[in-house]
Amino acid sequence: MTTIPTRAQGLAEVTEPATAYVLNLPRIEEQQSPYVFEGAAFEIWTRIDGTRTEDQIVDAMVEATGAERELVARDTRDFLATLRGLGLIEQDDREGDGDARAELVTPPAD
Amino acid sequence: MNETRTTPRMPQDVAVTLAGALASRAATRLGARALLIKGQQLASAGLRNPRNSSDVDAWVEPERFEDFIAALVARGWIERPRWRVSDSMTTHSISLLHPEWPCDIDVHRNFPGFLEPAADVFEALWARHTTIDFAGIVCDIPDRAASALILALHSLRSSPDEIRHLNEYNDLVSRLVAEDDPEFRLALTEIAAATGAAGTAEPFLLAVGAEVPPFDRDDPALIAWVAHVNAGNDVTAVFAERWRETPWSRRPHLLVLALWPSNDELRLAQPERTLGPTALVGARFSRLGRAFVSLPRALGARRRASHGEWDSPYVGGDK
Repeated sequence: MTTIPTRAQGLAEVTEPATAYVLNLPRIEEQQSPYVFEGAAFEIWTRIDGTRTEDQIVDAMVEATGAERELVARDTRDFLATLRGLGLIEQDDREGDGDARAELVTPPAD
Repeated sequence: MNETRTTPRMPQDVAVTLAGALASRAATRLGARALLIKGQQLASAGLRNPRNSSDVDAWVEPERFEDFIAALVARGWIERPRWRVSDSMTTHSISLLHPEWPCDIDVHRNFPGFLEPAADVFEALWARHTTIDFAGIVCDIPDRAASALILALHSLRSSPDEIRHLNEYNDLVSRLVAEDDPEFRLALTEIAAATGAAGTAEPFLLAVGAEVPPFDRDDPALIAWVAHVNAGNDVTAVFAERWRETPWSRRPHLLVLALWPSNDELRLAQPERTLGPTALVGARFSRLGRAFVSLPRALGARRRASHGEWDSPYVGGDK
């Protein structure tokens, strides 16, 4: 199974060169102010485009940071799990090699 | 490794963009119609230079006004504290704030200068509205001609002491004169006729070469508007107009609110200062003094308005 994270529908987002401000409109009653993604969080967020698998995002982060792959993979997956918990991303599980550990999180219909 | 925060530390322009998307989406989920007015789309439409807005203005269909406010309250927004007398003087909008956001959302049920019934005005603007993308969210906005008229009315009603408004108004007129677009001028005329803005926007329509639809120069609402413009948004003049519109039975209450604000209200006017008992007394009498001094100006503005005379830098002198 290959996991492809995708951004949730209905998010409002303003992206600047090194910062993304993301407002979770589908869950606005509980999450009333924007999330600010900077640094590595920004780098991961901008790579969640509905085409890259988690492994490919990890690869890109390793290439971008030059850090140890195991460390990057752990941090990236932790971050993606956080995003799933917040309803900021969904995931598309496809047949094939890959990681299918994370549970599917579907935000309420907007 | 990761820096993920919710924080009020976001730039004003980012906050305004996201709050616009929030307001527009809130209306959609409510099943109500709302137009984002003024704001960034004015620059996109070539009606003014880009600048950061300090707040979001959402004009909601009047019959859903309270529902829309409730929807925003459910999202953590609260009504900005204001003077009780302001409640009676500002009836067209309510400002909402959120402790984690650096901008307000001003919710309008109507807009000063449009003298037809609020529901009719909204329908006229909605019938020709368009959309814009704010932060990835499709938002409803007035079309370009309606936006120009709203900006003109907003400027006309502002104090000429606020040089930014005067500059924006003159810049708007210059841009439209340079465009020399007959279709756009016709659109301005049509909107002014449909919304009751022919008289209130007459200086603007004339300045850009648009035809001014027929209107009643003796309309009390128009005279009140001209008096407001003539007085340069002076608070005493605004109060005088509200006084004129208020039934006799409610005037004593209005007078008490205006002459004797609570200590909290006085502190609200000067949030940067800590007003002790002595300073509060001083602020109270200082306020009364300013009102007394500006009373002749307010009365003069009203007298000229009742004779159909404009007297404002926006208009270029008496007409």
